[in-house]
Amino acid sequence: MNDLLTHIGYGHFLVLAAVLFVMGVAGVLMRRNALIIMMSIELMLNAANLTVLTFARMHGDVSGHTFALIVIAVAAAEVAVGLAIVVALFRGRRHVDVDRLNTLKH
Amino acid sequence: MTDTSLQFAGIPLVAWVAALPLLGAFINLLFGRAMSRSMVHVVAVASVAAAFGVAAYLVFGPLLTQFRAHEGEGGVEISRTLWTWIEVGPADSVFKVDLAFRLDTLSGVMVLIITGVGTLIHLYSTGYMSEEPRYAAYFGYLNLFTGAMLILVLGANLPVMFIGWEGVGLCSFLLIGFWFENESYATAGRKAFVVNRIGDFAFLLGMFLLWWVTKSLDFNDIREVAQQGSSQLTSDPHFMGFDRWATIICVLLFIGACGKSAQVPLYVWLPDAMAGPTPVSALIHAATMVTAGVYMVCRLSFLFSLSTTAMLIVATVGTITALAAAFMAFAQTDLKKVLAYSTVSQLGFMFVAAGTGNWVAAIFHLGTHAFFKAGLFLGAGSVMHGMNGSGDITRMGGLRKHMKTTRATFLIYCLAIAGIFPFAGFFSKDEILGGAWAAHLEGWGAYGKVLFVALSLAALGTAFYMWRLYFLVFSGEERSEDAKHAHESPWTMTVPLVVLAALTAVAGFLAFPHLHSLDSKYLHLLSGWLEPAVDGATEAHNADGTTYLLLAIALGIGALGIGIAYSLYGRGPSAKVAGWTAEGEPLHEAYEASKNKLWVDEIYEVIFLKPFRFLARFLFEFVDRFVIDTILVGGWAFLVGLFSRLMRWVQNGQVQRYIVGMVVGAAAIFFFVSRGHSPTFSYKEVPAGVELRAEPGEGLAGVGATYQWDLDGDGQPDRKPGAKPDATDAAAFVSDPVLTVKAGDLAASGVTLWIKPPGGKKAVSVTRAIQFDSPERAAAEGGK
Amino acid sequence: MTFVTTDMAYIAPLLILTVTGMLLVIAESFFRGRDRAGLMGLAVAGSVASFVASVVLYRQLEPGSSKLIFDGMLVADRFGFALTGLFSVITALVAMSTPAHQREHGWENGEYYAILLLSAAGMTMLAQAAHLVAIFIGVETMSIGVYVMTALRRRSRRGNEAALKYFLMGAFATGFLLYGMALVYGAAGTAELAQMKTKLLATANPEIAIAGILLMVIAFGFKLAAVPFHMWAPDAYEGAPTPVTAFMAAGVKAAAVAAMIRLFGQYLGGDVLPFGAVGWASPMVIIAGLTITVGNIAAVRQNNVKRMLAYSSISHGGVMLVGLAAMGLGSSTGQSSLVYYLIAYSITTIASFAVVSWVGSRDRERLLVDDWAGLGQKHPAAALAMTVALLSLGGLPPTAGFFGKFYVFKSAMDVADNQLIWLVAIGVVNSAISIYYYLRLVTAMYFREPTEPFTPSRSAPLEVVMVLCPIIILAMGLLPGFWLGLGN
Repeated sequence: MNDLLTHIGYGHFLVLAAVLFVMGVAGVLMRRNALIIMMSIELMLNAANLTVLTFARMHGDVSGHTFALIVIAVAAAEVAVGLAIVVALFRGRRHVDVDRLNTLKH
Repeated sequence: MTDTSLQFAGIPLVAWVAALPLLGAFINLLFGRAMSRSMVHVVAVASVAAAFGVAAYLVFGPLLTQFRAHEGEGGVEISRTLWTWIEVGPADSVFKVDLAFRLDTLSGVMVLIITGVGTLIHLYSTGYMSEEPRYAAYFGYLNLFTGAMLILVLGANLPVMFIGWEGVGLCSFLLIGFWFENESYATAGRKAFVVNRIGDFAFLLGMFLLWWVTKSLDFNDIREVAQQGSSQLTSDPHFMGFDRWATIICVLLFIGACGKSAQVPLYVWLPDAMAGPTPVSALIHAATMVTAGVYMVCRLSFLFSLSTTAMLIVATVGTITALAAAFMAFAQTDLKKVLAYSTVSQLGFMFVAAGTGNWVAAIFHLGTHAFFKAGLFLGAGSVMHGMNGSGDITRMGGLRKHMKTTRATFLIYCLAIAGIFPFAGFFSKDEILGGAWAAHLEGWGAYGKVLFVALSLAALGTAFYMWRLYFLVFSGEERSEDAKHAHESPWTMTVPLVVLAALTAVAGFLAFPHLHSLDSKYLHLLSGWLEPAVDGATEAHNADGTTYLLLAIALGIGALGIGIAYSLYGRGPSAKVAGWTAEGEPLHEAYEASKNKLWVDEIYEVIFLKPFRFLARFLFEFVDRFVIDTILVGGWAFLVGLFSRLMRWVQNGQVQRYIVGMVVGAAAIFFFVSRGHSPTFSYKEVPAGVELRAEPGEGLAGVGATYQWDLDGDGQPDRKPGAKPDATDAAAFVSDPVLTVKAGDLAASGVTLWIKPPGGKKAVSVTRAIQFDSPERAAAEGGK
Repeated sequence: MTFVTTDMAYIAPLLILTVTGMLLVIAESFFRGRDRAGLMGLAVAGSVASFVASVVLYRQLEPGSSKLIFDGMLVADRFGFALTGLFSVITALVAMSTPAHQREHGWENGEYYAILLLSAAGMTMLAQAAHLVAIFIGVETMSIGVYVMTALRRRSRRGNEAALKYFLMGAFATGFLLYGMALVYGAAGTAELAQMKTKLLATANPEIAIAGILLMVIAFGFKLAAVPFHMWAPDAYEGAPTPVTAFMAAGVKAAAVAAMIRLFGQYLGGDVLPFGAVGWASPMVIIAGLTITVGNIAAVRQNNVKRMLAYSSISHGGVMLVGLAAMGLGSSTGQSSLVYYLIAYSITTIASFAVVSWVGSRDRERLLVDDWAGLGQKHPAAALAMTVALLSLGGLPPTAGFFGKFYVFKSAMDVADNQLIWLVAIGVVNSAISIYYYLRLVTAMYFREPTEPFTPSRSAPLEVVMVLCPIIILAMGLLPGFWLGLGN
């Protein structure tokens, strides 16, 4: 048990974060539902957060940990606004499909 | 400059001269719609009249005092810098332009003409435009024009002058197209604008070059450099002589002047510009704006004097314009068109004066022309006002009975432009002719005499077409109902006519007695006055018997022209002329050709055009149709269309496509950064030998790269000393990014470096031969 | 960690804007009904106070001095206070142009002014940021506020759509920004900008550092609407209420550039660039050239004035990137010319959008170029204000826009070895092209007959903006020296 934990290095965390980030990007690109897109964006933010924490641990720098906490707070605020916008949109259109939002173009 | 004298409300009086009309424009353009018509024109006229008052005070007060006290060149000026406008660049070649105004004797003359004639024309406009619905806009533009024109003449450097230059162009465009409901009028405005842009572009180029050569655009600084330049800079064999620069710069600036002052080949916009209201034609397209080019050339007289070539071009273009425009005026039947061609022709006269170094005559003629041509246009406006707006001279005749004041003043202007003693045109035109006759610039030979003959012909033509106009309008019997019921204009229109006629009658005496044989510096008032501002203003004119002969010739030419006009048109379009020119009669073809301006075209056709027709056709078919239309225009349209379709595809309103765009862009940037950027290595000589430094290029490719060297030229990477010859692991090879080796260890065939970027990409190899600069090292190398 | 109370004085603009914003939330419940002039007054008062504080602080500091405050989180220098002053002015002008638009288009939200000021507080934070965390908080405070403001016209389908698009893309870009920051932090071992360059030059993981820097370039490119990250801008600008559009185009863009000047220009730029020019300057050069050109050509074919101005603002963002690249490549005049350009561009943009919202009204929004025909005859003052703004956008003398472009291109020419000469050529050619579409509107205003009577949304504060901005534009054109000195 202890063995396994000690063999997981910083590199593994960083790669995991990168994979999560790419998954987030892919989700944003491929899903049509605005809510799912927002969740994918959250995934990207959390991947970045994981990276920050890994590096903070690596450098033994406590300011990195506070950075992560601040990011969590800011992301929560952002999501709140995003959800409000989605709700307002849903009231008018009865759907949240981003493919059908193309009144504004060219 | 911190001179606080001659100020009002903290702003120098010189600046007030230009600011007053601008203030008027501001009020009228912004609040004019809410003001009554009388308020509008009170503001408009008062602002220009006040500017005239301030200018007159400055010129006849402080400036005259300075002038009386001055000795030698320069120094007679009231200069005020408002603030530093532009200041950029390093200290040794700083590009600095002050917003500065300078009133000297030359700009003083111009300012008085602009504000004086301007006031009269503003006054006249209150009558002429009284039924115009956009009254405030009209006066706003007119005031704006006056302000811009004053900035043009008062500017102490070329950029400030250029502000005015562009400003008057803009106002001219607005006023020509003032009645833009009429499509052809709006087109005329655009034509003027476009043709002027061509000139302005050359002007700008000339200005940049001038700055590059002299490092200053202030007129006084340029003058200093020019005066040194003629003696010093040309002697340097490695330096393209200042006089040669002067030629290029002057020609460029002159092209600018050609645009603004309607010279061949850029004159085409001026006849069309007659679409604007007549007072506008009088102010902008006769008295002031079109003379800006002449003013600019005179302002830079010291620069133009340096270049005989440029002067030659100025004089030649002026002569061609004077002749060609005079010819075109013969055939016109529209009152204002005749005057337009006449203006073009007279401007040509002024440029001949400038081109023959006869600066005073150029300014003198500019002034007298401003009086009589403004008067002629205002008179024409008065006639058209009386004729219910028609300007067709074939329908006039007999107007002397109905419009007594207009007719009397018109007579004076016609006498003046024909060059009849003692009216202003006689003196100024004679000075130009005399100057051309006596032109003595190096290497000109008898060119001055040729100019003289050509100009005399143009003067003859001028007298003829002007008097043809006069007779057709005022003499004989009425030829239409409108003419029978013509009426005199209101006092606001006739008073300016009378004032201008009076000025026309007396202005010539500035040059009286005109002969330098009488020993006094100030006898020719204007030449003494302009001496501090203009290069070589006091150069002697012919002061012998020739002068009297030339005077007589000039007078004779004028009289001859009037005589011919009288005999042909004295009682309207007579049966005699009609008889000569009837079908089958000997003069028929000549008359028809002249009337249609085609005779010259026919000659050109036979002599020049036919051989070129094929070429022209080819050029049209190939260059115009194919290169320009198909490739440039079509190609551009195709590109824009393609781009447009691309944009429509990308910007289709779907947020995910936008995000894909972002991701693709991001990927492109990463690709750009991660590819190698010309990897190489550098070497330099150090005491211990030669230092080799690997330069893998910037960006991702550069960081984390590994290296292998081949110093002995065997084509294989070198192994570290002591490493097994068959070892293949990376540690066995020389892999430092920086190496110091003895010169003797290097292969003559060159050193090779392999750079292997990170991430398992292929290695790149660079081979360079090492060469040495220092002789001892080269010797060591050679001894190996 | 120490807390120095005098540091609080140096963030006076930020504090004033934040406190006023919070006061506005409370005040909103006292100003019920349709009359919200009081809220607008309070918002303007707060912005003006913040402006005054910026001026006082600016004058207190020596030129060239800079002082790290809050343990290196923020910095106090003249550059920062010049920009906090600018952001305060932008906020005040936008607040003043709002009531008329709210009245005419029925979106009288009391929260609007609170959000506006809080968003502006985020901008001031960006102007003073000296730490990655400060930049992140500043960007997010600003952006979240703008997302909300875009969405305030709740009943408008276009407004909602614009808000969602803007939000999704903005949040996506935030992901890039944060990940970039994380990587740079990891490579450098510090998040303080003052030490970053030294640490990066010595880093053991340059690949990570470069990737992080590029991700930040991309994220800021998004905020600045640089091509190819610009596609949200035309839609969001068109869909948002016009005063909000002005705030987005002037404020958000200027704040993004302020942060970029800090991050790239001041702390990562200069004679020695980490990882050479390719590290961030070369990509920025390419983005700048693309942005200027694509924005311009796309603007040529727009018939909607707001959309045309949106593309034009994209193109202007490209010019700002030219200045940044020049700064990164060691031009000493880059910063002052950029500050001049930011002031000129912001004021001009606000002026143009103010006229756009003045001309439209409840019945007709008048967004098409054809709708503007004859404005010059019917309402010469408004047409004049628009003309001055358009001339300035087109970069014609004697307006601020001319000197802005002139100075930025001049600073790009100062870069050694003429590295940016092609970029300047592209910029100049594009300026010439841009005059076409600006003059198209001027021609419509002056040389065409009105098709129907204008019903402008009259409002005293809006008209004050329409008078004040052109005066500033001309003053900047006639007296450029003073304004140019602000950025040093």
